[in-house]
Amino acid sequence: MAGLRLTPRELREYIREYTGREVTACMQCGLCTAVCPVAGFMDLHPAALVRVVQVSGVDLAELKSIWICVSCMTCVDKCPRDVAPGLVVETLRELALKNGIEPRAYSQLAVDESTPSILLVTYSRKSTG
Amino acid sequence: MKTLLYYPGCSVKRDFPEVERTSLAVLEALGYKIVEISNWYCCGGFPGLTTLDHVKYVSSLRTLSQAQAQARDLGTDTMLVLCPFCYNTLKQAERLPRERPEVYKRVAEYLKDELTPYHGGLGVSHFVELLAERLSDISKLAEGRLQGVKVATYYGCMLLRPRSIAIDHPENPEIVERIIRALGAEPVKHPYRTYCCGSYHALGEPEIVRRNTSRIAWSVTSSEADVVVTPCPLCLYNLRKYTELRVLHLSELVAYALGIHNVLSPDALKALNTLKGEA
Repeated sequence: MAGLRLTPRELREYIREYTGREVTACMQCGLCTAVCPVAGFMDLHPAALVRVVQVSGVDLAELKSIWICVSCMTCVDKCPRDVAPGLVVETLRELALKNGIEPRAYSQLAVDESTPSILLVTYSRKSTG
Repeated sequence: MKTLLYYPGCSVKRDFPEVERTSLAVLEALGYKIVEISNWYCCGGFPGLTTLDHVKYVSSLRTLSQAQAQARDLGTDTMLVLCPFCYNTLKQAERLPRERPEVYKRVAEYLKDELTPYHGGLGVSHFVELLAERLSDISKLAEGRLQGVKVATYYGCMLLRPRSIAIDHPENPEIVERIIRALGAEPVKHPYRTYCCGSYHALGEPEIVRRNTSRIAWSVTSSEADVVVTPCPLCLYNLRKYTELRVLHLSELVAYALGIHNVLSPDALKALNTLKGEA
């Protein structure tokens, strides 16, 4: 399993291996960020995140964007270069989870009797390893 | 009479029984026989998006394997799904043997000692798709009960993306609007009908859901709709919790229009009677 200390080249290869997508194909058109329904809540919006992955690699322990993306697949559908930022994010999220980084403890969640199980299931799928 | 093998999923069984009640009643009124799968498992919530998380497909393929055997016994090739999350996940799992055989092979390894592997060929159909196949029958049964009512649709994400499993055009869907027209009501389009409501962030980052649902509320309100309907239980929960919109599950509107009032919750019946009174 890959650890967190991947060089930019290793990270790009890792993403290629698990998604079949090539981040170097991104031409920074910004369409992903324009259509992203949660970009405003991210530290690195989708296009910026792809750019950082292209050139310098990321610090997964610090990156908040991977926990904000909801996998709505809008950017994946729209990307004119088939980079599919949503899948790049998913790879980074899984890499973080496999290395023990999680967005928050379950005890911090506002769960009560009215919380539907679909909310717990979908949240868990994206936030636990 | 066509038989549908029915996969419920957690949300309609535990939290939204009125969605199950109204959806099944509508399909029965259209002449379908519905048989619930005897053993079903959580769909997994989300499909595996990368080959790193192919394990997420295990429960979906386990369900499909059970369904395959039962469908054969019942003489049907259609599995009915009500929840868009379940639809999205099961539909992508169903395509796995054909489209990503290398992933399918790895996942099937986990299941080889317990089940007959899923071979493919089961049609995973969402409630909305089944309604859209029967528009003229719906029109006849509706008898114009919703005449003059303006209905906005909020689609959410899971029925439209990714494109490979979309039930209609992902950017400009009209499938629900066609159903609304068949009911005798007037569908109104609005700009944010496919914009994500914020989904599971209701649990950990509610400000995202608050912001996104407020945009959707603005969009619906500007369209001058009398009511907004959604096919998704999670969208329904978020829109009800975070906005002042009058929001119903699509199945509730259809059940009312078809005159099947005994399956509606008192709140839904009241809202629908008010709508009709206003129209």
